[in-house]
Amino acid sequence: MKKEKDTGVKEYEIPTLGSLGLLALGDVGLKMWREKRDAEEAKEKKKSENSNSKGDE
Amino acid sequence: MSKKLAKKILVIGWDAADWKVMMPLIEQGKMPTLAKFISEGVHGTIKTLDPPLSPMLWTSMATGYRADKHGITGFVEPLADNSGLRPVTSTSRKTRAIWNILHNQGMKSNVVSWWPTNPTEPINGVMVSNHYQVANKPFGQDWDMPDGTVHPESMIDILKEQRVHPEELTAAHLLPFMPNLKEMDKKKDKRSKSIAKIIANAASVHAASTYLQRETEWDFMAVYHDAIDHFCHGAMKFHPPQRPGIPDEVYNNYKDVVVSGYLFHDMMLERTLSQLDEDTTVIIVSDHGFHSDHLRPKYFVKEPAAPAQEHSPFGMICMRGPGIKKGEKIYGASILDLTPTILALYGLPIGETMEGKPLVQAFDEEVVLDTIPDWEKVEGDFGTHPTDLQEDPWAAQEAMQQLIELGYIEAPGENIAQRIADVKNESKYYVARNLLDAGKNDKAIEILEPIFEDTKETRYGQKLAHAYLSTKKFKKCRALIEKLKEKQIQLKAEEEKLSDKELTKKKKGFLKEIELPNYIDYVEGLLLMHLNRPEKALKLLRKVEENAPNSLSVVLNIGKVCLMRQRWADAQDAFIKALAIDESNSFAHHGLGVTFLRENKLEEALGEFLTATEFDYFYPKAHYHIGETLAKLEKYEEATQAFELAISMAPGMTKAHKWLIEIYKNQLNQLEKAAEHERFIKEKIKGEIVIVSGLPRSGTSMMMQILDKGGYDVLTDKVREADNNNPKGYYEFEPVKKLMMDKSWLPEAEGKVVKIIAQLLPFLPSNYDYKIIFMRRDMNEVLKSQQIMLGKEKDVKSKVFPMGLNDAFQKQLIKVENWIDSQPNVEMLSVDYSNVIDNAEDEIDNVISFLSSPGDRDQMMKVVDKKLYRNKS
Repeated sequence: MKKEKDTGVKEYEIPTLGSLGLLALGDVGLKMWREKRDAEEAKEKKKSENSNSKGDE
Repeated sequence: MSKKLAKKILVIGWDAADWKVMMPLIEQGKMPTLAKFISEGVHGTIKTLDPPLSPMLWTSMATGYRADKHGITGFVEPLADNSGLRPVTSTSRKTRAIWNILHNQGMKSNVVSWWPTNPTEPINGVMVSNHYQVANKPFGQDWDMPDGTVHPESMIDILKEQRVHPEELTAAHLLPFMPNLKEMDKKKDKRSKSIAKIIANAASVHAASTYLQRETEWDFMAVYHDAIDHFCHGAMKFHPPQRPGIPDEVYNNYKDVVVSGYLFHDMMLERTLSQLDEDTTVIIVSDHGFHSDHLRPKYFVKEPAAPAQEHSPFGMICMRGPGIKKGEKIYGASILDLTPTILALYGLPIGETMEGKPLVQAFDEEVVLDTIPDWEKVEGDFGTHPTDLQEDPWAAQEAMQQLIELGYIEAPGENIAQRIADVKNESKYYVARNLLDAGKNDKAIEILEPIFEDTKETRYGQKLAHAYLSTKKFKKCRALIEKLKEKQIQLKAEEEKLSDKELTKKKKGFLKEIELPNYIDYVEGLLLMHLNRPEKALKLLRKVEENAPNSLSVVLNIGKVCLMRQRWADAQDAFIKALAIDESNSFAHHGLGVTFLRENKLEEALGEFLTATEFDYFYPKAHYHIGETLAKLEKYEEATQAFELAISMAPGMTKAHKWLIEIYKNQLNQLEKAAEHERFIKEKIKGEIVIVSGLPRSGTSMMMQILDKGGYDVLTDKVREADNNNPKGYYEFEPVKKLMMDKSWLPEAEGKVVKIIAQLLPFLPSNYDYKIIFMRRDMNEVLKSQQIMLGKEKDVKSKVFPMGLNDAFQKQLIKVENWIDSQPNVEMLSVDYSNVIDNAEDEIDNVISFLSSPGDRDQMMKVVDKKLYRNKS
C-alpha cells in the first residue's frame, strides 16, 4: 500500500477508553484510539506478568 | 456540453435528517459545522416520494427515476430459488446510477454504504456496500468481510480495519447518548445495545469514507449514513417534550439520544470538510424528515415497514462550494432532483427520461443545460454488474436480521411461500403508491386491482379507491368505498367480541387498522368534493381532521371546500393549519391569499400570493391574483405585468385578458394594447354559456325554472308550452334541437342559461367556456316519467319498459361524461334531482357557488315543489 497522506491531525488527547471526538476523526481517530488502547492493554499485561513473576521468586 | 460548474462533488446522505430538529440546535450553537456550511451555501427542504422507504428513495436519488423504473421496491426480495427472502440487492436495480454514468464518462467515484449497493459494482473507483458495517460475529472473533462488500479487492484489507464493532465501544462513547447508562438495567432493557450498534455502524462508515476521501483520487464521492434514521426510530418517542404515557425513567434514560445523534454527525462533518480542498462542491441531503414534535404518531397501522409512518415528507438539503450561491434558501426541491443536479454541475447532459430537474436556483450562474434522450440507451462501459452475478446468501441473511431488529420487517414465519407471496404483493403496493405519488393513476390501478382482488387487504383497497377517484371513475370509487366500509363494520364487530383483556393486549402494541376509517372517510370526502357536494364533503373531512389533525392533504381540502363556499374565515383557518405543517406549500399560501383578497386585506393577500410563486413560480392562478390585488391597490403597471405573466402561462385565461383590457383602456390609456386583448378574446374566446343538461325527465326544466327565478338570464323561446307533464313550463329553445347541424344561434346564448339534453353536449363547439349543471335522477324514475309523457301509463303500471333502454341511456351518459372530462373549457356541477327535492337549501347553495354571479336564493327555493316529485321509483 502507498504511504498515507498527512492526516491533518496534529495533537489530540487520547483517552484509553476512547471518545466520540476520536470516532468523529474517522479512520485516523480510530487508529489513534486503538493504538493507545492496545498499548495500555499491553502495558497492563506486562505489569501483571511482572508482578506474577515477582511473586514466583 | 454545458458549462462545468463543479470539478469534484461530495454527496453526504443523512437518512431522515430534518431541519425541525437541526435548526434549533444550530441556533443554540450546537451544530457549528452545519451552521457555517449553510451560511456559505444554500439550504432548503426536499420533498420525499411516497412511500418513504429508504432503499426505494436512495435509489431514486442516485438514478433520477421512481421505483417503477429503477426496480428497487422495498427492503426485501425473494431469493432467486424462492427458498426464502433476502435484503434487497444492487443486482435488482434496473437503471444506471450516477456513478455508472460518471464511470462511462471516465470519472472516478467512491461510493460508501449507499442503499442498496451490495454486491458492489465494478466501477472506476471504490465501492463499499451497505452491508459493510454490519457486525456478523461476536467481538473478538474473526469478523470476515463477505464477497461483494468492497470493490476493488485490493481495498478489502485496509477497509476491514476501519470497521468498529458495537462491543468494542466503551462507556466513553455511549454516555453522551445515555447519561444514566451506568444505572440502567441493560439485561431488561436492550435499547442501549441497539444504540451502541448504531454508533458503531456510523463510526465504521465514517472511518471508511474519511480514509477513501483522503487516500484515493476521486471526482465524485457519495457517503450514506443511516444513523439519524435509526436513532430516531429507536428514541424519537423519548425526545423532549415528554409525551403522556412515556414513563419518567425511560424518558430520562433516552431523551438525549436523538440530539446526541445529530451532534455526532456535526462532529463527523467537521472532520469530513476539513479534509476537502476548495475545488469540491458538497451536497448534504436526506431522503425524508422525521416527525419530532406534535406530529409524532401515537400508533402505527399494522403493516410491513410500519416504522416508515414516523417519517415526515420533508427532508433537508444544503449545498456549498464551487458553482453554488452563498447564504440563500432554495425551494421546491425533490429527491428526484439529486442526479440531474449532479449531472448539471459537472456539465454533463441530463437524461430526458429522468423524472427530476436540476436545482439551478442553487447555481451561482446561469447555465444552458444539455440533455440526452436516455442514458439507459447509451452503449458502452458503465461499470455495472455482469449478468451472471452470484452472491453469498448468508451475508444477506445477517443483514436481514438487522432489518428485523430495527422493526422494518417481520421475522419470516414458517410458511415461507406465503411470506414470499406477501412480500411480492407488498412490493407491488409500494410501486403503486409511488405511481400514485407521481400522478400515474392508471398505471397504479393496473397494479392495485389484482392485488386487492387476491388479498382483500384494506390498505390496497384504500389506495385503489383513491386512484379511481383521481381518474374520475366515480362509480367504481363509490362501490369500493362501500365495500371497505362493510369490512370496517365487520372488523368492529369482531373487536366487540373480544374480552377486555384481549382488547387491552391488542391495543398495547400495534392497533391494527387504527387509521383506516379515517382514510375511507377521507377518500369519500374527496369523492363528494368531485361530485360537487361541498357541504357533505366538508362534514366528512372535518370528521377526518378530528382524528388526524396534522394531515396536510385533509386541511388543504378543507380549505379548498371553504373557498368554494366563500367561508373566508374557515378557509383561512384551514390554510394556516396547512402552513404550520408545511410552510412551503404554495397551494396553502395561494388559498390564504385568496381569503385575504376577498376580505380586502390587500397587502396581506399580495404577500401570500408572492410567497406562493416563490415556492412554485409556474402558478398562473397565483400570478393572476397578484395582478388582481395590484389592480385593487391601483398599481396598474405592475398589475399588467402579473396578468401578462399569467396569460403567458395559461393563454386561455379569459379573466386576465378582461382585466388587461380594463386597465389598458381606462387606467393606462394604452388603447392599442387593450385592442390586442379584445381581438384575442373575440377570435379565440367567445364567452361563457351556462347549460342545464341531463337525460329528458331528469329535472332539467325544474332547474331552468330555479335559475330563472333566481334572476339568471335564461334563453327560451317558449315555443313548447307548459302541459300536464311540465306544468311550470319546459324552458326550451327550439334551435338547440338542431345543434348537430346548426351552431349559428350560440352567440345568442352567451352569458345566458340554456337547456341542452345530454346526448347533444358533444356537439358543442370548443371556442366557448361552458358551465354545465348536470341533472341526475334514478334511471327507473327517468324511464317511468318518459313513458308517462309518451302516454304509456299502462306500461308504467305493469313496469314494462322497452328492453335495453336502461342500458342504452347508461352508456350514453358515460359517453357524455367522458366528453365532459376531456374538455378543458367545460366545468360541471352534478345535481341529484331527489336531493333537490329533499335538501333544496344545500343543492341551491351548490348551484349558486358554482355559477359566477349570485342568485336570489329565496326565490330559487320557492320553485322546489315536492308535489312535482310524482314518479318515484
